[in-house]
Amino acid sequence: MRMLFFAVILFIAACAKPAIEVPKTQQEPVLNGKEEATLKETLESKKKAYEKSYLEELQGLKKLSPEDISPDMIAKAQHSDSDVVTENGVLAKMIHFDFDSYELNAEAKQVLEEVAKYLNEYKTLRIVIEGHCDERGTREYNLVLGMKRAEVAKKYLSDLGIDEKRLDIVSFGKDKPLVVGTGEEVWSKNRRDQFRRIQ
Amino acid sequence: MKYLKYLIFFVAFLSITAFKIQITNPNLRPFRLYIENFNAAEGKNVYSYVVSNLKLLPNFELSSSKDGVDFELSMGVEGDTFNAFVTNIKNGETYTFKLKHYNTDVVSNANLLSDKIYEKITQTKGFFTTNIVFSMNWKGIRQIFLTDITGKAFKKLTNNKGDSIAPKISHNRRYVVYTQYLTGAGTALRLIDLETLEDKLLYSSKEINLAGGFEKDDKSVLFVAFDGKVSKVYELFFTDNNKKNELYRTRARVVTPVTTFDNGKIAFVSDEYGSPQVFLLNKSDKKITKISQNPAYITSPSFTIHGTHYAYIGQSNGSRNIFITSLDGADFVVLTHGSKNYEDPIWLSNERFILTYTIKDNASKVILIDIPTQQNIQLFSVPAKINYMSAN
Repeated sequence: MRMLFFAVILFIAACAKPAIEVPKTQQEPVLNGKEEATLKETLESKKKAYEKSYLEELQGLKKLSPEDISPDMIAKAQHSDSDVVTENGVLAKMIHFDFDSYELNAEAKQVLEEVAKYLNEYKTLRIVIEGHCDERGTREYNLVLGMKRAEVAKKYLSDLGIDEKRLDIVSFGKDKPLVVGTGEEVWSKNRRDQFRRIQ
Repeated sequence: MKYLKYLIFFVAFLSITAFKIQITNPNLRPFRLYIENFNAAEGKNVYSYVVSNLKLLPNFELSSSKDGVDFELSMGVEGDTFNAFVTNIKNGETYTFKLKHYNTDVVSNANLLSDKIYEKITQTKGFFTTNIVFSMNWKGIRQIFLTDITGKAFKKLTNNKGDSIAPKISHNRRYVVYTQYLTGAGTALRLIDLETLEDKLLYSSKEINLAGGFEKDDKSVLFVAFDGKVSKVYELFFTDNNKKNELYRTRARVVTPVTTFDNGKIAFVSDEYGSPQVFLLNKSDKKITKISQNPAYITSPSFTIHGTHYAYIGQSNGSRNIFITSLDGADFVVLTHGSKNYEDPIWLSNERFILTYTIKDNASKVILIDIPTQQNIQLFSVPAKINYMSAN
């Protein structure tokens, strides 16, 4: 019996494919000095542009140059789909809420667990949780409701072990619908939290 | 039993709408006015704007002859000065108004002259010099805009990278406060000085910071900071190094803190006891008092300059309509009816008119409502969705 066991082990070992050592170049591409310098430069300039843009937004004082505009110019500046969120960096996963509610349903919790898994895979990633509402109710009240919706998702992700420092929240109220129109089908799509990568 | 409270609300609602009372005291009789023809080419634009302004109002009846009129108005140009003469037929007195350099800013000058004429005839405050600020989409980002009350002179004020919303203009028409979304998350409260054209940062945080308006003396801004859990109501003194004073803190949702024109109290909308209602906050002891009793939600309160009454948006017949009431709820009037959704009522300082707007099919109509006659007067339309409006 013991002989048979060793024979089987020897057979399996003989049939096994020899381990292939992956050359280092395939594991992580090595850049030559010039490429590395270019990449560093690009990353540095992107970082600087982001910081500049943020500082510009936050700058204490700026001088305005009011521009005279006509109704024609106003009409041209409107896009039929301009209110719809089309920003890059928005994750495909989103969660939805009941009317005037900021409670997480089972489906929303499942999506948040997937988002948490994603954040656990990419440890340096930070996200903004954007709270949105449907068109009913007032703008101000919806801004507050959207903030509640974002906060409840943040709390759930935090309970799942995601560092709160990686989670920012913002509310757009009813100002950035996913779908333009009226009726429950549209409203239910617009009552949502979206997740946007910021780093 | 389940529906008893709704029935009580409904009966109470019907009983208070059943009697409408006169809450302002303007001279309701339309003044009969004769305007002399203007034949000169120079100054014709100012004349035309003044006449079209006066024609809008239900408290003037423009007459084609001098017979039986209360006032006569004639206008003319002398060098670079535009003159207007208003004659009171009853006592024979003539009042002269002179506009120097009238051609430098025709719309502003015509509105200023319209106010002077209005004030002389009605003995009440004019409102054609009112400035309106609002936010709307501009190439995908919301920016802040300014216009005169007749919609003849639009100006785009901001060119920000993040959405800019909820502008409020000060009572002296010099400052505009607004909220700007920052990259990533968080919002900044900024202040535009329309005199110096400076746009400065007042406050920024990761919260939603929304201004409700300016205090009576135009030295401070009232705003709410909400982080998703707690609402904090602040008074920020932009004339005193942006010193911030927390007035109230609650776990309820609070929006639009506004002046009541009483230095000791402010008002805001809160869902502290259920549906959003108007509350007064006593600044000294931080006590709040619910003053509205509307069964549905309420929003956008705007007080008269004497602080005796306020207008707000409430639900009626499935639409957002304007209601006006005294602080004790006694003088209650449903000012608008029908299926239009009205937004942001602003009680103008002459107390007879309320400015508001409606949106339909991607266009906004800015409307003046004459309180005594409940007449809707369309001032202008914008081929875009207005998003927050304020006026002073």
